[in-house]
Amino acid sequence: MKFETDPSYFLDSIYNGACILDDELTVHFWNKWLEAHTSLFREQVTGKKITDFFPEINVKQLKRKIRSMKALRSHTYYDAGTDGWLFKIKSAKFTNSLFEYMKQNVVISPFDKELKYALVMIYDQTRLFETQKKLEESESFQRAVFGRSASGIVILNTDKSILITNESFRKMTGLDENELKGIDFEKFLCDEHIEVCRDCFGRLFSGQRDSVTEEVKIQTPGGRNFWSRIAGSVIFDQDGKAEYVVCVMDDITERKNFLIELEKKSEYVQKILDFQSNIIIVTDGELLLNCNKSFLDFFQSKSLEDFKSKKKELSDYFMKEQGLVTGDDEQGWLEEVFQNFRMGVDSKVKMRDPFGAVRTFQVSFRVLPMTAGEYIVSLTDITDLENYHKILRDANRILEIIVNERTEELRKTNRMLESSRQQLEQAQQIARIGSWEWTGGDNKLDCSDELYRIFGVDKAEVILSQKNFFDMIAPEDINLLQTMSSEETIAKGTFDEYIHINRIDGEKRILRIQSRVKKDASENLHILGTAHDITEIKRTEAALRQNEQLLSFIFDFASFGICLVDQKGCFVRFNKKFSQILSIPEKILKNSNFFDIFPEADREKAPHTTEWKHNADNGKTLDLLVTAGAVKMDDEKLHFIYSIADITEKNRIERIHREQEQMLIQQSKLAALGEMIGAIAHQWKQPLNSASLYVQLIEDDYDFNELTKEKLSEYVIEIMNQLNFMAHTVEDFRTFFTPSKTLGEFSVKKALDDVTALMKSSLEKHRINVNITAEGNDPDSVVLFGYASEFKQVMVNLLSNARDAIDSKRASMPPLERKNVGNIDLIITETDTEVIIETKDDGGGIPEDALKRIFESYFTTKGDEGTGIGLYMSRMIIENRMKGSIAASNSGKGAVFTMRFPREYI
Amino acid sequence: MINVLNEDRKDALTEIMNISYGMATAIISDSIEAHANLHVPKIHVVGTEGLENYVNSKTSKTKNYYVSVQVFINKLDGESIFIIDNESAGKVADIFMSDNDETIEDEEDIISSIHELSNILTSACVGKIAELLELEVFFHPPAVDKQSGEKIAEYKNFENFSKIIVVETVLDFRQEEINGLLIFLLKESSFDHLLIALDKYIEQYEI
Repeated sequence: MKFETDPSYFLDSIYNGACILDDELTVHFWNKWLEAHTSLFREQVTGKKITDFFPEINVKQLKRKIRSMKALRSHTYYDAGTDGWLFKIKSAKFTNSLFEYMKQNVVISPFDKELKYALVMIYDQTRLFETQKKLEESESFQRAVFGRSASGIVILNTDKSILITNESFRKMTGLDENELKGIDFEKFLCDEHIEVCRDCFGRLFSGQRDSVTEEVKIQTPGGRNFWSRIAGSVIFDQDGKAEYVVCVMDDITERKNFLIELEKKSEYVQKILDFQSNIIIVTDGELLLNCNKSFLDFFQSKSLEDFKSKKKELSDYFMKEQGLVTGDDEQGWLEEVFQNFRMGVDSKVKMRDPFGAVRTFQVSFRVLPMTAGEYIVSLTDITDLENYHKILRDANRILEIIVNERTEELRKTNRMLESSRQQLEQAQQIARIGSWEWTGGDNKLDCSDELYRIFGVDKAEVILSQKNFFDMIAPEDINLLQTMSSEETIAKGTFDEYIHINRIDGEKRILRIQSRVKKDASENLHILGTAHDITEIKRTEAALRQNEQLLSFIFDFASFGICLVDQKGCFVRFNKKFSQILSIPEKILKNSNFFDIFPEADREKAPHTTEWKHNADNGKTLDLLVTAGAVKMDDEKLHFIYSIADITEKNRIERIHREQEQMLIQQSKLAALGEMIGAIAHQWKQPLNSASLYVQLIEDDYDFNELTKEKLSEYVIEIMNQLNFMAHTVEDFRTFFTPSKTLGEFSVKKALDDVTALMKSSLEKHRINVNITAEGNDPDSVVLFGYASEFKQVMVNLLSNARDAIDSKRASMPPLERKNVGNIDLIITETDTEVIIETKDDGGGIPEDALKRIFESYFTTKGDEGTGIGLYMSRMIIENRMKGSIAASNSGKGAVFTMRFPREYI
Repeated sequence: MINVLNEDRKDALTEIMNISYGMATAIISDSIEAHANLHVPKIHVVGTEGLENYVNSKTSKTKNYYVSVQVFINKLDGESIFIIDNESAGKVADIFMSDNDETIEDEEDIISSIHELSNILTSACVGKIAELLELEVFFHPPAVDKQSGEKIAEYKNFENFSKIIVVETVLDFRQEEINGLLIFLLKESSFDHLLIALDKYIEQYEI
């Protein structure tokens, strides 16, 4: 069979990469496998340099390999292990692939006889390398386990010579790896264990056992001996032939020593138990596990087994009496012991020994540590103790009866004593009197509880003695107190003085010390005394005195007259002012009757204030402001208090004031009238002029015979027009100045418009521009409450003042600059709480010293031209009639008048 | 060491190896674009039992070596073992891998270079013998490992082979000497084929 020569015929069907390259690395063929793995198509690659697609290729190396191949006429290779890849191709998509690029073995072979082309075959080795890597990891893990194991591990050849050891084994033996290698393992064993070891190896090699474990004694060449547990197993080769022996060794010397020690201890404990006279047994509640010698002696047994062979259960020996552990119920006798323990009752048993004697035992138990439900039970022989108890109990009972009788008697006496003591204590406490007793013979001071309280000392902390008693006495009183033991006092027999003390808590107190002083038969001083705490009484007295002084002072200091009279009108007390106001000397007044002096006085009890006109004895009539009321004194009698103030002068001034105000209002009205007349005069000037011209024209026309009916009618109409205008003007002014009849809301904006309209001609004449602006709400909706005409009057005043100020400012300026001034701003501002109206001019402002007085009546800055009424009246209207406020200030340019009207009054 | 070839055959084998090494030198020189010189090799043919001693005598226990093993099969059946010490291996890598005079230290580059060199030497020598015999020989790719001097002579499964040809190789390059040991292990039948080839070569020479 002859095959096609077309390379694709074969190379496309193989599961490897294959390409054909020439010496210059130009691609002549590219098989399907490479197409699939590189996503480069044959047409794309053929005729191009391979390095165009795989720039990472080491060109020199590849060319060398191709040349070598040609020279040798044999294969050359790339090895996946070292070179990794020739064509950098992403490894096929395996999950968790360890390699990013395909590991490739590459074989370069001659393709044609002429050796023009090289066949490059690519073999994917990725899976192989992944497996290899995992194997390496697994091996390294096992190596680590082997190396770091705490147990010594040694691998032996079948002749028991050491092949490999781990670190732990080397530490155990104290030899390094090289020293250990090849040594016969038996050399580490003690002579007595060599046979055991050989036996074990025999069993392992013969396949009788998979593994063996023995405890053997190891001796190292360094002379160290230790016990070791060795677990050995054999590794067989594929044919079942033993290849290696693996031994795992642990140093168990400590454990071994511990066990030996434990065994010794155990014997020791048994000896101790045997030495005890108590019967001691170990039981799980049913079976007896151990016992001591006393137990065996009691039952006359040689051993526990001997005892068990006679009678199986211990409870079979128990006597069945009430109150004793009998072991009759199902749970067994130990359970009865537990129950008694839980209820706090002693457990007792009675047993008859083999000689017939009955003995009583107290049973106690403990859980045996480190066991599962085993108890150590002790039976203490209390037979003798029980008998003694009984005798003692009888003797006790008799004694108890006698003692009880005596105790009852004593208790009664005690109760009475206690009751008396308490009564005395309470009495002292109520009276704040403490008692004490000092006996000179033994220098002893006894104090009652109340005395401790008075001295502020806690009986539990300090016991009052003569020393600390004296320590608390105020220094100035010590001498006085010491006189208590003076010969004079002893002769008198009593002592009664006031003493000050300074208590430990810092409080000062006054005590009245009363005592009886006497000497006993052996000339020793004996003092019995009381101490009465009168501090509060003294303090109250002092406070009362002080109050009385204060009241008298206030009474006399008062600028009005005060008097206290009884129901009949007799003076109990009055102050100096009272007699001064009435111009009646105090001596005469004392004997007078209040109601005679003031027949108009009522006798109303509730406090009230009224005004009386009183004709004094000197003929003067007094205006008196009287405040009166009644008060009940300690003796339940009603007394009247009257205070009188002379307000005659005050009333007179007020009257004058009212008259002045009246006059001012009158003047203000006249000023307003003047203003009006001025305005009317100004308004009338023009129409009057016109009318007089027409009248002259009538005469001229008539003189020149030109007066026709038509012309006359025309002139009359014109004159009537002028007259009508004048009549309107008067009507307008009249309406403006007529006081509003109605009190109510009015629009601020409209009022301001009315004022500026009225003053229009005057303002224009003075070339003054008035701007009305509003901030906040729609200006037309801003309203005030009051008489609109009064508000307008205020605004006329403010605008007139502004106009005058601007005029005088202009007068002081160079003529060309005068036009720069002449603005008045009226600003309406409405907030949530108030309406504010500001008038700002540029007339230079108000002099600082005048600012404070500007709203006073008759105060003016205009000299003779001002009346001093305008702003005073304005303030009256704003404050009294509209409940608002007005204030004046200066801005940079001129004066600012600010009026504020709180919302609550709007 | 027992030499199992007579003088004629040994001369013939030396000659063949010489030619093969000449070819290998040409390839290497061509590859590295510089002159290299492979000395006339010393050749020994020994029985398998003498190999360990021989290798031990030619290597040092304190050095580390790279060992490249390549299997060839077909009528000429055997294994080649190329042993080169660390230092020389580094020099080989410098020749093959380095574009300038810098020293190559990457182990994979060294292994790759030894892989290539051993393939050239084995293919040249075995290929020449096969050519003389007009036999087809099929090469496996070489496998390179690192080995310590102590263990270099430990080989197992010698029983498959009967004769061993040892070629001591010295490569001069840029005044540096590279030493290597190339060992051919041949199976009995293959050794017979070798003898035929040698006789054939002697015959040609005589004519």
